Amino acid sequence: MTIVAEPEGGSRPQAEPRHRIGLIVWLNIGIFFLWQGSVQRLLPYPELQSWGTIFMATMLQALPFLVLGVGISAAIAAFVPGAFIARTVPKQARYAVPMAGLAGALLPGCECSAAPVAHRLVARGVPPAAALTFLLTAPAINPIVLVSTAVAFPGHPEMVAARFLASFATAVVVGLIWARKAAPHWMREPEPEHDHGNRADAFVTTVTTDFVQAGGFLVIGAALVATMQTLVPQSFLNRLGGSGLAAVLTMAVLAVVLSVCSEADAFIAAGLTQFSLTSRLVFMVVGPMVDIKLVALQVAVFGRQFARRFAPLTFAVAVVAGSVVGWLLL
Amino acid sequence: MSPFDASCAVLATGLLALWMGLTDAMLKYLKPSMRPWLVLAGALLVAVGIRGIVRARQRERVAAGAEAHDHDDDAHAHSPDEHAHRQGFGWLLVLPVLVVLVLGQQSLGAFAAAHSSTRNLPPYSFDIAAYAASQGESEPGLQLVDVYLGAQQRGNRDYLAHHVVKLLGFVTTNPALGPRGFVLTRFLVSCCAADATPVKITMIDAEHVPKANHWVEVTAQYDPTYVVPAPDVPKPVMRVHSIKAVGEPSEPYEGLR
Repeated sequence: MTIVAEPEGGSRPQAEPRHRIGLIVWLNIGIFFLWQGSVQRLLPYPELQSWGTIFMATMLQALPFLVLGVGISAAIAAFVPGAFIARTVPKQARYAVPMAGLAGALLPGCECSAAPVAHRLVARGVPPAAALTFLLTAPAINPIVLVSTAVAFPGHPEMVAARFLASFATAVVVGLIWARKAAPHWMREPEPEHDHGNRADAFVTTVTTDFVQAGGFLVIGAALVATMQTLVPQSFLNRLGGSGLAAVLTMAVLAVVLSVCSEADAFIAAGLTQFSLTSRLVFMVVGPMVDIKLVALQVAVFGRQFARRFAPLTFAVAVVAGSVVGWLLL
Repeated sequence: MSPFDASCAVLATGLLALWMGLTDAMLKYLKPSMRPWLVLAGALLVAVGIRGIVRARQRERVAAGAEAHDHDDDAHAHSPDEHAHRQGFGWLLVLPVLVVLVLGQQSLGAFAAAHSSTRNLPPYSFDIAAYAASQGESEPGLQLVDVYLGAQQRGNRDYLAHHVVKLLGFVTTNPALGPRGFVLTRFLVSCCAADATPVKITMIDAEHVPKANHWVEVTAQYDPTYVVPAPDVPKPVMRVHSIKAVGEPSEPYEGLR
């Protein structure tokens, strides 16, 4: 689009023409929207249709949870007094990390809400390791996920216990390793809170900034998920198989690539009967903690420096914890 | 991205979510129980977007009047380049709107079904006979997945082999089935269309074969003795009693019971 707004009057600020281009872009989209679907007949590519449906499904599935996370984060920023949260959390990682793990397990959250909330907690003085443990347990072991696991594995009640234990262990171990090894600058500093003006404005500004940033990366994540799924159909899973370490690693990689949400992964794992129970447990432990759209969100919220270290660490710990718990319980 | 553009992006995404949630468009992507969450998220984004736009205009006017710098932009001075860079990703939020604009709202169809077979499904414990009795109809309406999984179980298989049932799905073709056979297909979703897997049932003895990707209501009876003519013909196989062309249902996907 090459529209250059003519300068009007001398007293206008310089940002004005840029704003007008933005307005024109958004208005055009609104107008085209009324004709939606009429373009699609010109594009007889069924692959593109499937891609579009999976892309939109991933976006729409994640959107309410991302908005919830961004909303909670902004509400803390705007309405909770400065030192309140830091006072309630122990300063020492060895106490704070398990406590944060339990808090995450009790709160029903989804993987997409946890990142903005965890980042806000860091901004409010919670030890980063504890906030990250919360980030990992909130989606992995909440009541909804455990119930859906029980439903998907009717003959294996021990699967629920194994999933809880392995996920909790992963989150705590990652938190403790992070507390010991991590350099503070790996994690991007939180945005300064907008404490001027009234609280509603602070809330609106924080939601807008956080949502636009995380949403942009979610688009990248959803596009990658849709591309993978269009290129590699799920029936491909039926042809895979194996035992021992090979099965565990295959399932761990699949969890990252497929990026199904933590409510649904138990149903996929339950069907993959050609894999060992332990490798299916690893699939369910890795999935809610490391997958394509989550890493995209972590880059958006915590920065690339952070995600480059945190995602592989979590992946490795989750594979080990899942294997050990599976070997003991299943 | 300026605060004004960011607020526009929030508003546009909110309107998309709200419109999807208030119409049946969302059912082409998500399971029905997600509806209230989508509507709530959309409404919040719309409210935040509108308020943000109003505020951005006001601040601009104040800034124009006083010829002062925009206070908000300068407040993030610790790493302005990196900040602006990351905010630039916000323009990607145009993509979902564009995808719906260009491709329309489409549920997964014959192409997606043709390119994948059914993923292995979790154990199934649904009593079709009891369900059919509770329906009180001579030809009870079932999901395709009921027939697909029921045909693999002793009790349900007996029921299906002796009763005509009503099924709703879209048509995919298979050349091995000849002029009177086709495959009735529907996607099974547990969370959203990204975890969908097709469920396929072979239909034989049809008076005519409808066009691929068209939705039909079929009454048919399971034939456990029929031997499929080629390995890529899906099982189970049913003999068609009647076919009726219908429109795509508002809920295009099935869920596990």
